[in-house]
Amino acid sequence: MTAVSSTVSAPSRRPRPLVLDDEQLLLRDAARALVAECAPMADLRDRRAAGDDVGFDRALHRRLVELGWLGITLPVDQGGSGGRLADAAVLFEVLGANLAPAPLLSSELLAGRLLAIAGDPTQQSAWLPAVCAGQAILALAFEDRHHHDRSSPFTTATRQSGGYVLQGAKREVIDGHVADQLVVVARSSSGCSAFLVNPTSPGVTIRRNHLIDHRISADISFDGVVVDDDALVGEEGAIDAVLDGVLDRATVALCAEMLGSAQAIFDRTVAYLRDRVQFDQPIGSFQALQHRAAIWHCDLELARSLVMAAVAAVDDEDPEAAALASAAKATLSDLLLRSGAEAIQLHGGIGMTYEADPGLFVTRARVAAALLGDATFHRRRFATLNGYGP
Amino acid sequence: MTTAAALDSFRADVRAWFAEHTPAAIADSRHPDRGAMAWGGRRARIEDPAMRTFYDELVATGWIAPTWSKDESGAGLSAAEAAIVRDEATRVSAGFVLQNFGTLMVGPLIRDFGTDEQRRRHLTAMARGEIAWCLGFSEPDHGSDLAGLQCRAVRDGEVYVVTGAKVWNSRAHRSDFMELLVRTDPDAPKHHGISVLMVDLSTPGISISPIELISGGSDFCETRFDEVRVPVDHRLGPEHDGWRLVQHGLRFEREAVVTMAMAETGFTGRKRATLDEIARHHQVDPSAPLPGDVASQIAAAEIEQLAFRATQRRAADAARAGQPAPHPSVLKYVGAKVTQRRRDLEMALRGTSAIGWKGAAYTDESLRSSREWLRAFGLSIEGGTSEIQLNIIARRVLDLPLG
Repeated sequence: MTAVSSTVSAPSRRPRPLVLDDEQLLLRDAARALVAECAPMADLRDRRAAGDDVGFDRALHRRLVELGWLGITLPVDQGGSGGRLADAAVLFEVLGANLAPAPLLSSELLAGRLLAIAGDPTQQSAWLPAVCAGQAILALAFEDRHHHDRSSPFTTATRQSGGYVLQGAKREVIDGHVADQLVVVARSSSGCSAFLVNPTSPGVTIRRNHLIDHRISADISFDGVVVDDDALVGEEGAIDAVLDGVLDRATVALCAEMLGSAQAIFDRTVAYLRDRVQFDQPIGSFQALQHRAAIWHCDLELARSLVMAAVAAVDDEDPEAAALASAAKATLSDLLLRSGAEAIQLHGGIGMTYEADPGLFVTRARVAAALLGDATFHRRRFATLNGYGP
Repeated sequence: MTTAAALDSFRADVRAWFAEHTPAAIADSRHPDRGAMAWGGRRARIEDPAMRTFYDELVATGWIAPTWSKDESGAGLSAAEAAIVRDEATRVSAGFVLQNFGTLMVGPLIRDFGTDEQRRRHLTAMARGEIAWCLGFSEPDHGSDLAGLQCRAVRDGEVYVVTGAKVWNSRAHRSDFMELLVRTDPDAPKHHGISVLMVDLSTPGISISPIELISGGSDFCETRFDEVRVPVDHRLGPEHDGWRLVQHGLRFEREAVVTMAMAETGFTGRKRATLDEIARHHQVDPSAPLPGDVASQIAAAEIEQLAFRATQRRAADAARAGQPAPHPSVLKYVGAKVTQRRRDLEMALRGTSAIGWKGAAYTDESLRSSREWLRAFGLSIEGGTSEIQLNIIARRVLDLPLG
């Protein structure tokens, strides 16, 4: 080997391999066991039939806390595990496989993360240890419209002595109906800011939204809600940049959940193709159906790679992380919707019944596709981030 | 197991080697020596002294067949080290030198099934780029149904007498040897009467004609065998057991698909215009923002490409970690689709500037764009059609029953 010439730069940092490490494989197995035990899919139907107004299983929430998985990415000094997004992604994927709802996206990835980055020590110690201990649920109220929009919100924060007055309305606040504290994004004279708001404050009205996917969210209005100065999270008018990073991270976590859902309904459908007999043979022996399944499999493999690449980019603080997050959400939104539709078609009539699973996946697909930006939003954002956006 | 730190240090050494030895000419996508360097062979002439020196030095490292032993003129590297060599070569646009049918597809089969004499005779010549190989599998009447092949080899003492026709032989007209599938037992069931011969293409009775494609190019040939006498000791593996070799070889073919696809970025050495550059160039006002629907189409194509690249990366990472990896048929199927869609979109974005066959009105780039678009139709046919890949995925990955 020739001597290293002095003009040669050192190799750049090794890209993180796109595989799960040993600890993540263990975490995945443990999470699968938990979900199998605590969150069978039948629970979704049972809860709706029982008139559920929570939208997730409190017992599952407790178990996640006991196992130290709520707060898996939050800082250790706040009671979290200080893990990487890759660890959370493993959990989300497993939860997604059973369509199991849990207040993880809201409390940890959205509001929790925002506080962990931009909150002051008092705000952090007031809420983050409680989230990790399962004593509090947080919700981030940021959508003002029916389409995800990261431009200036309609909701306003007007300065008054000693604090602010909030005026406006937020839509589809994930876990807003059960939150112990809200983080509300509002526009003030100096730009976009975030505020901690007690949901029981005068002027706050919370409406429960029962969604097609059996989950529950909230539309929340703020009518002259008064908050103190110490409710401001971070600098006034400077939350935009923080929020972008938080939303990207949460989007990638949601993509991991959607990947788990898409893979699960695919696996169930392929099993059905093997078992279901028509014309005296398993319908999975027909080439027309085999090719549909094989193409679907290819799309799942692509989606998995993209999600893993996005997770790695976020963990590596790669400048491409934002574009990869958008690439992943555009891809997963389309894929999960198509997966639900393929599942119903390949199951035939049984797929249309409430008793069978495909319908649960197709409704979840529609909700998840719309949350945090749909495919159209993210394709446009991808174009903009790459310098050719409209 | 090589440690991560050892691999990092190996990468630094390899990078330094390329930095010191790679000539500037390597970046010239139209350099006349590229073909000779990529494929080698008796007739290959590397004219540019700088390229010649680089090639000789590269051969001396053993990196053209990096995982083969030094006795075989390889470098005795692990798979992880070989991947680093390929990465680093691609980084300096020299990836194209490290891939050919010989070292990637034929050589591994000779290593596994050849006699000592066959290994001595062929491997070193292959790894040194002295002999170029091609494959003789498909026939005019047997494409996807490969096992039905009819090219006949009749034993006559110490030779086989070969008669028949093969088609879609990549670069046969520039190759020296062909890995040829022949039927040695016409009475056995179709998978059981096949043998593999290693045929010197200079043997009398062989005629090779390039096939002109819709793109105007001719990278494939039709090869006719008229009572061609091939010594029995040029047979690879047991007589009549060739199908097993084909199946075994599929593994290398799949690895080659990944390897070649990985090197694709660096293969031409030419920076393609990005899709948005193309779209902008063809607007009345190139500085105006792209219309939203155009930007969205471009984003969709770019995202698909990104997903494909990530899948290639994951396939390599998972194989290295011993974890379940995307099946090579997935890469083959998706790779063809992604490239075809991209070529389609390139053509659409160029509008009427891309519909020319020749003429001063058309830029080189737009002429190349239409040829590449036409050539891309073959990607879902060659090396196993997309439909065959889907059959394989359905059976082998999804475990769906045979009809």
